Amino acid sequence: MSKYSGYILFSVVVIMLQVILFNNITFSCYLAPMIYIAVIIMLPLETPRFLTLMIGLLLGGFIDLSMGTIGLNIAATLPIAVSRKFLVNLVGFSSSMIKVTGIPNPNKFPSAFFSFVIIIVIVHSAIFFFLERFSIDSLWFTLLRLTLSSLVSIVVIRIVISLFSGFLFSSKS
Amino acid sequence: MHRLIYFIKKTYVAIIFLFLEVIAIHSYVYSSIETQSRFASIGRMLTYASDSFFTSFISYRQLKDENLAYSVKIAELQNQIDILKNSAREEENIDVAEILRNHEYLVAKVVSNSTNHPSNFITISKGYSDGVQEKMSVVTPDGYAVGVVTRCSEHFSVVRSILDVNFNISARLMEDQSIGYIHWTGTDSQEAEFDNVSKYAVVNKGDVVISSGFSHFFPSDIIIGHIKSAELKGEEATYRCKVHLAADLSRLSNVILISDNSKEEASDLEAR
Repeated sequence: MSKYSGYILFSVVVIMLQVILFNNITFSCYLAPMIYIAVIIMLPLETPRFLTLMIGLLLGGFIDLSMGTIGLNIAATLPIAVSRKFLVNLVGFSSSMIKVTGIPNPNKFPSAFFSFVIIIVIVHSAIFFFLERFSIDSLWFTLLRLTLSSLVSIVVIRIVISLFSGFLFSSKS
Repeated sequence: MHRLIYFIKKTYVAIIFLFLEVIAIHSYVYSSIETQSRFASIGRMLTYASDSFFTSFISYRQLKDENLAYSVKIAELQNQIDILKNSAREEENIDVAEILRNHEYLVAKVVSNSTNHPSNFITISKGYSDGVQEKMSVVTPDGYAVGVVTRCSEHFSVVRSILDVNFNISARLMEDQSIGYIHWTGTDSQEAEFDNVSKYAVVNKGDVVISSGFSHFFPSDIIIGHIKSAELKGEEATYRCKVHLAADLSRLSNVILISDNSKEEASDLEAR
């Protein structure tokens, strides 16, 4: 259990940041950073798909409750949770001869990790923003909102992960 | 049989995922404004401590401006009372108390607020134990339109902000008296659209748009904003105007709630 204590602490901080800071601070109508998805990104690579799905459900449900939306965050988080294993293989975490386990480490696989974060954030934000607006009238507005918000989310997630790298990776090896 | 078990073993995660996803999207799409505000008020309990920290920080910074606004408002109200008293003295049969009884005012603090979603809600720190009721109108201390109370708990209320793409408010031009409706476009928190204004209306830049009082959401003559630009809609015989909203909803810290007691009587009559 102590192996994952860093991850649990990280998750709590990320969720708190989302609920306390990013849900409350409005920079502009184009920016709504979604950093809570980092909880799914940093799940240990060997996590079973079913468990990932349930963590996604709980996470989405909790964020929904704090935002006052019903099912929107769950709907955006579940596809990420279910396709995570596929994405892990796609970006090449496990393509090397060694079977990689544990929390994905950005220092060991910088390019794979970065594309992993980008894909997850963009897919999640796309589902979120298109469902939120639920019309194609304001397509360009939604696309701009999606692009800018994803960029900010990626940067913030990267910063939070590097701040926590000491906690996240100290317990292993 | 083995094949079936193998198949289920292989795909059960995907099946559960599809099931949950359909439920989530369905409940999101079919959630009404009432269920959303109920959900928001539950979630608000979770984040109350952090929200009130930010609110106290922000409201401290805005204290000076607000005090000034309140002083101006008090002076204005004092003048109105004097005028009412004078006219009451001239005409014996006008009862000032009777006029005032139809409207009740309450001041509440904004606990949380957003402006960057298609539907925005404001949570305020007064609930039914303080006399807040659903459908009360909410204005800024300067008297500009903010929203309508949709749900109350004992100590909190959720306000549906005018920054909601599905919220239409009946409004009219102060000068011209032409009627239209205001709705938010979902982009700029300071800009809304004033639609369906007759093409025979005289619309000038800077004209003030006020609530018409027809919709039961706001009492009449509450300032909503002023005209930024106006253009005739292609083949239709109406104007579509861009309105600069008078209230800066991204910087709210205190609001005033107005209950219009005569409104209930009117809607009762209409429902009959």
